[in-house]
Amino acid sequence: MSKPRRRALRLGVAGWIAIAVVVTAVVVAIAAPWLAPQLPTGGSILEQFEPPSVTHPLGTDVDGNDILSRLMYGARPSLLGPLLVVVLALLIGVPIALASAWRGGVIDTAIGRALDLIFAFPTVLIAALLVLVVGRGLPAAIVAISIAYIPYTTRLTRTMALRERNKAYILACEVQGLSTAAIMFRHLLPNISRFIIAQATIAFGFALIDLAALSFIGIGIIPPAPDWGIMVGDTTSIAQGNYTGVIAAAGCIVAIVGAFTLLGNRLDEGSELK
Amino acid sequence: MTALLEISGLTISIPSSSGDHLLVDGVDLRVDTGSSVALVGESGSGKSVTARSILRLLPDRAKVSGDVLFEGSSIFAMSNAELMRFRQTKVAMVFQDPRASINPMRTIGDFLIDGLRAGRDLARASAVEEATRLLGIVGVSRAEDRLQQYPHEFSGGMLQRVMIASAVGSGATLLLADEPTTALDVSIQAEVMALLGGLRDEFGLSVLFITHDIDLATSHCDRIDVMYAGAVVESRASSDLVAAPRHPYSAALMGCRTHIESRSARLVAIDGAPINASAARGRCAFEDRCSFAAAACSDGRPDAMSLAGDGYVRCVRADEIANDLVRLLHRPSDELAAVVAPIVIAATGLRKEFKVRGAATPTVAVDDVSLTLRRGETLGIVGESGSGKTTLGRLLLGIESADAGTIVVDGALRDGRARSAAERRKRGRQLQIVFQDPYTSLDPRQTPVSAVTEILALHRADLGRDGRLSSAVRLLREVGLDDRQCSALPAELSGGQRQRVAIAKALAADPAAIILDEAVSGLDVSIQAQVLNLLADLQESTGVAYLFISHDLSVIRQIAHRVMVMRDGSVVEEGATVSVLTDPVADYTKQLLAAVPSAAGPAA
Amino acid sequence: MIFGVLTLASGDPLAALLGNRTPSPERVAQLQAQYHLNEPFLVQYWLWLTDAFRGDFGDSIVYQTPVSSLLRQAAPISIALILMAEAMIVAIGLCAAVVAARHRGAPDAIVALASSLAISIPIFVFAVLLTIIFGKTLGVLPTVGAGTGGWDRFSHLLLPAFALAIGSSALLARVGRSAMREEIDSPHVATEVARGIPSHHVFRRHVFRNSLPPLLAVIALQIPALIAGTVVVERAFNLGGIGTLLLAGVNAGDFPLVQAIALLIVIVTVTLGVLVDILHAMLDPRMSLAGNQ
Repeated sequence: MSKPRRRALRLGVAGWIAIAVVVTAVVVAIAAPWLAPQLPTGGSILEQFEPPSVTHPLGTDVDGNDILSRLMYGARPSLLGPLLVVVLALLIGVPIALASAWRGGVIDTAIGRALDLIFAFPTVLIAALLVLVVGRGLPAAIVAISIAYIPYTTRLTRTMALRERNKAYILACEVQGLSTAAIMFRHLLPNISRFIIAQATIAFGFALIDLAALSFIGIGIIPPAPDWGIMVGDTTSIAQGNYTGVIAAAGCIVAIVGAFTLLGNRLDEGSELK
Repeated sequence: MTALLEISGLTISIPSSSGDHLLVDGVDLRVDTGSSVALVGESGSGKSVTARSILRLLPDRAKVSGDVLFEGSSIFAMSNAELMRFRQTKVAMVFQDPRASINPMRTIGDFLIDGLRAGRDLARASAVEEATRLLGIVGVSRAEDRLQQYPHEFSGGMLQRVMIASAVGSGATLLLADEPTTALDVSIQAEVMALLGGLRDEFGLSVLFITHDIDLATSHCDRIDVMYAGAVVESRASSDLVAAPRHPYSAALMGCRTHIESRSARLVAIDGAPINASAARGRCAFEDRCSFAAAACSDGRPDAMSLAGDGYVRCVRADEIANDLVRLLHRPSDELAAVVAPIVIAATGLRKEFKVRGAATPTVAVDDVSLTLRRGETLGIVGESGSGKTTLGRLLLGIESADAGTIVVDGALRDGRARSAAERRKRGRQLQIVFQDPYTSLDPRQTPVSAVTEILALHRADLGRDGRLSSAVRLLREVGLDDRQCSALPAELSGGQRQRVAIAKALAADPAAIILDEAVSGLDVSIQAQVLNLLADLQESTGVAYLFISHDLSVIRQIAHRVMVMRDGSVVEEGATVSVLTDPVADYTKQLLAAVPSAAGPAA
Repeated sequence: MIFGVLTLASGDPLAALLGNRTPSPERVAQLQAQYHLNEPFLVQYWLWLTDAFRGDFGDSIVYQTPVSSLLRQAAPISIALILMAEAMIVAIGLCAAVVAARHRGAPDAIVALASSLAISIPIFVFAVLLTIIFGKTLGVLPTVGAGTGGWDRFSHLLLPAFALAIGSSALLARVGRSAMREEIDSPHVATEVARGIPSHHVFRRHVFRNSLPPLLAVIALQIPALIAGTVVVERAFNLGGIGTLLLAGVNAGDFPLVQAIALLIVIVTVTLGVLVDILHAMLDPRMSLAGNQ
């Protein structure tokens, strides 16, 4: 029997850098209309592929749009999308997971089977079917990725909730006469909340990737709306040897995903009893 | 006799960011050819690390000084090839938990043959033959078939036999047995100890036995070395130690143990909790907890003082307090008298079956069990794993519903799970529980005060906020917590302190009875004694009744008025503790009693 | 289970079929007849199911050819891609895991850093970077199309498979490292060391062997992601496999094509999942026992 100890959150230098990256991205996304030198769309094809200049700090893309402005405006769907995915997946997944872990038995098995079923559908396939039915755009992409993420959130939360539920203190609460709601919200949920937040943070990064991937393959956000996934998937620019927009957008995605993954892992390190 | 193993000045520390963490501090130890030596200590005393260092099984970053000589040559001077050879052929080790210590994904045959081929360069066919023979020697029947089986098809006791078979097969002359029976049931424990004893005689093995159980040590070994905080405080022949321990710690360790032959009026309590070797560096490690501490005790670390005959002790006052120490030893006292009081729990004809996936017939966990418990009384329920004692507790609590039978607790009929919040709350005032594992029985985010206050808010709305707070503090003081501990998080408390908090929580609702489910089994003996004394005091002051579930007969003897012996879900014997334990009727009870190690010294 | 999958996969054919076009009533009637849309839902479903069982998924609306022949053309490319990627995942992931588990210190730290980086980089970014570096700048490997037969196919798929594999192999390396570390620190490995079993035997028979079941579980969990990644990679390298067909079908509202691909993908995912389960049972004696009872 080792002595359990809850580790405090240790960010380290990398953790602070990650927070700085996230904060910068959020500020830029909110303040894009004021910060961006140009509008992200409506450029003239005559100004295609201009080199960096004072008016276009990163030059222009294939449609003559300012690349820096597209990056800044592109931060909006790239942050809002994953946020909605994570919130949706948690709102649906966590209650199901808690019910499943608490009740056990047939309910637990049935929920497990249903999750397995959803899990057999790759994200792209769910998105494809949804787009076929309701049409292309950010909402369809967000719903599709959320559906795909529900099994993850639910499974992870259920495992953790079940482990906690089987600990003696929860049983002791029942024997004391505490109501199920009190046990759930005063004891069980607070004890697994850090784990849930950690997993949600990691999932945020993956949702960003998956949403951008949908834009990249052409079933996510509709061009010419500014989006990092669309920018990376600009095949015309690649074919013509102009990589500025592609690399810059790719860099943004990797930086944000890296930051969220790192923060999630840091949170997770402390969430389990060692 | 010649020394087979000689450890001198062994010091082991692990470097960490906050300085070196000292684990073992200058241990001297000697095992003669053909003898058996026990290294006795509580958790964290450094006994296992000492044993592991003999095979150089320490982490790479560990700093080691001093020397370990085996047959006169230093094991620290060995080359890698020599070390492998030494591990293969000279010294074998048997670990505490056989189920964790044998690879679950390989067969028993693979396990034995790997060892034989590495150590004795046997061809495969002859290794198979030898493995079969070895299993026979350690008493595993149908050896040929069993070689094909996997560890999960073996019981814990059988797996430990396999481990021992591997040790015998290596041809080792020294066996290191690290708590080899701690994870096993009492009757299996006795069988494994008997097997080890037999092999010692048959193959001339020497044994270094690592244990926390001083009775087990004195009844099976020739010599005892008592360890505390990384150092040996007393080294004696078993019979000398049993007659007259010379170190206050050894004496207290013997005095705080419960006994199967008779009960003590009150167990010796050692105040506080064990400290680690780092904290004890350069001084008497036991001074803080010693009831004989004097000014002289603060003058650095006591030297080893040779004793008449044989052995030594590290205590500057050893001669002055010799007579006082003998008084700490167990003295039989009056048995607990039968309790005449109103009944608080009455259960009749309880039965519970569990469906096992794939099995045709369900397993009967509890079979026609009836019991009564009176106010102020303790009923001991004894059984090995699988006896149904824990399920019985869950039925009484209403966590499981019985398939047949009735339960009346505090005048109210209980039928399965509570159906309403009000009923659940009412039940909370009737019957409470304290669990075995002190590390999971408290919410890691709640301080003792807030945990107890939460319960008081549920049952004592009349008290008001301030009243509840002061009642909570009063209750926690009563179970022996100080102010700082009252508002500390569970992670900052020791196992014994956590168990005190669990007891306070159980008492908070002022229930008629408390189920103590192996509630002292996870604690070190000195802490166990403190908690047993506390339980007795609380019963005296509040009149609460205990249902004391345990596998340990001597603890039952100490605390229970009556006892019920269970096996495979049924009650095999029941009656006043003294009559059941001194004059058992059922064969199974006799068998259990015979398996308990006697504190009276070596049987031979 | 399959029933539920198929119901979902059937989607809403009429809406999908008509999409944003405004067809003449005759065309509607013709389509309805062709796709049995005037039948009740369950009948439609049954007709589609029985046809699908015979390998007949109807005609693609965009390509105006039988869906089955389109699939037959595209499938070999996707299958080759997935197999190559899986081989790379296992090879790279296991090697990195073994190195990190056996050598504490620098090698461990390097694998940890490389794997966090690889996990953070999306497949499509990898694909584009590889295209730029190998195709445009170095010009050593083809980055467009799937090539034809043998070596040509292999060299065309090399970069796509690598782009597909890198993230999953990083995850495998991580899980593998911690699984192996856990085994190295386990009591049963201590037993083997104490018995003087040579360290390469201990690693192979006890550490590596015992860490395979959790690794297999990771591979199983990654299957849907791998298939989703295939679609992305096929698009990035213009491979013309199943994924390319799927995208073409979605963009054109070609519901028979999308339906067929959805069915195919789900069947492949489920089958691979079952195969991994069987392999898991074969590897772990405790599992096979539980299965028999």
